[in-house]
Amino acid sequence: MSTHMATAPEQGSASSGDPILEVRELRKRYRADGPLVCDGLGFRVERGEFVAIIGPSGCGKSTLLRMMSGLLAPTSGTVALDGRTISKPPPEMALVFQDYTRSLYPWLTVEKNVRFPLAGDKKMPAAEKSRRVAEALASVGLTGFEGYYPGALSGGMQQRVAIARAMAFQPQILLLDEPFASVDALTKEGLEDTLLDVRDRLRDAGNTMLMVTHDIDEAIYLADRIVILSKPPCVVAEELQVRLPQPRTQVETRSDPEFLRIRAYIHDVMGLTHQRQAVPGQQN
Amino acid sequence: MSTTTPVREAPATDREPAAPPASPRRRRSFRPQLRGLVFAVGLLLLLELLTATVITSLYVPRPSEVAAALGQELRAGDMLSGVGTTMGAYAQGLGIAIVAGVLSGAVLGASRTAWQLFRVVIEFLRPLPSVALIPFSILLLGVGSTTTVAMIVYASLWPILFNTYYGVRGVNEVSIDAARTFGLKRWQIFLRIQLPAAATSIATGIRVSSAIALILVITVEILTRSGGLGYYIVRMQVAIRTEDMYAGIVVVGVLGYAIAVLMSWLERRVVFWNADHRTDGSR
Repeated sequence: MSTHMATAPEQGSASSGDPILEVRELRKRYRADGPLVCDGLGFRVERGEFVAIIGPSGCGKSTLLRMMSGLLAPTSGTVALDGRTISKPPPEMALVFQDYTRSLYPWLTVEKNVRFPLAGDKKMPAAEKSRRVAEALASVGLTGFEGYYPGALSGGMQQRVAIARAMAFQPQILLLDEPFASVDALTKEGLEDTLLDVRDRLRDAGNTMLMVTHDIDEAIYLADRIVILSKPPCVVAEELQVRLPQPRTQVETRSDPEFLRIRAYIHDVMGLTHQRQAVPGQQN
Repeated sequence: MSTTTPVREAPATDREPAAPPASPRRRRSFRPQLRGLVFAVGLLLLLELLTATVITSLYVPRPSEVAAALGQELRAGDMLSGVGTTMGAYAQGLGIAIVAGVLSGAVLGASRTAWQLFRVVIEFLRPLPSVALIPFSILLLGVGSTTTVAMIVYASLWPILFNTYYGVRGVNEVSIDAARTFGLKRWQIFLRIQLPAAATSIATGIRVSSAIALILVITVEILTRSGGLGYYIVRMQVAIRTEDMYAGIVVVGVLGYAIAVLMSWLERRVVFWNADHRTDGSR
């Protein structure tokens, strides 16, 4: 029992009629006789939205993300991008992985890494590719690092390269798999703001972001809407609107009463609030 | 809420330029090497002292005598032509092994079917000591550089093949997933991700094989008496020209050392992103 049941923030799933991504009745078993990882999971993401998916560790977040990106086939159910059911990674989508040391290619320079997703496109003129690369690097504050190899950069900078690489691809929807889980707390704040900057630039282009994370504060800070997953086998436990003013800043946004209210509520929903016993002899 | 003054967002902590890729290697000390060199010279002096006083066998010449013989033999040209023959066979054998090993390792790594098909044969052939194949090879190919090269290829093929295979297989899933999301096809992923990612492992295989190939070329030359440095050493042994024999052995040692240094230098240049070739090629 929690001491305070937080008042519920505005709930609700996407309502307007322009979903870019629609997940329907998704089920996944890795083996026919294995346990269900996801059990009829469904939600929608509107064009231009920033949605964060949070769930307890081991609830199948990564499985869900791999299914949404077309890397993994669901046992049943569908993922539709722009109304079309996907069966392989669609060209309108890009992915930023948690593990930047593995997702970047260490034998390529920063410039070539960012250019990598464009390299196979024979129709795009080289000048356009260069322009996109330069723009993507500028948007994450890495202009001037084109000639460096990833191994010479800090973890935070490497993850910026990964974000720039995804941006150069100019996806309609950017999927992020716990993108900042492997960097230190300070770097993480910097990267969160980079992501918000990138998004502000691209909002007009209808750029949509979908992030999977286990960090409740990060989800509230970044997202317009939060999808909370249940314990495995995962289903959508709840969807919340995050009504926090833009632009968001680390200190002000995080101390906004609404921020704290949503935070307390999510803790309740996820069953994370536990009552701490008073220690005898201590006064608090 | 106690926040009163508006506070600016924290500046990103990692925006400053990273220190240029430090080159720990370059700095990494000359001193330990110097120390090793001094010790080696000390050993030589000790040996000189012992051979001058206690050990007075004909079969253990003094280092200074060996050095003199080496100088003389090098000038005479006989030994140098032996070095030429040996290194020619060495380069041919290792070259063929690299091409064949990388190609077959890559095919086996790319195709599960190929691996299942060849696996038993490979596991049977690999532990077969190549020296055991010399009689067979002589029957088939005769005595001469063909046999020498064939034996080198046989022995140095395996490390390259297996390192290529495991390098291609062991490429991490995330880098492949990333490439898949960018729409690369399977063969593109193989050429542009798996092969380059396997390069560090391939380089290790080549380094290991470069040492094995030298052992093989000398062994085969000694056993088949087919010319080259190995034959030179046996000839001097039979003629009881021990100083010259030792001079030949010294040259083999120098060649081995030079190859190891060259290989680790190449490895650092070519697969520069590999963080863990701290070994200085001496393994």
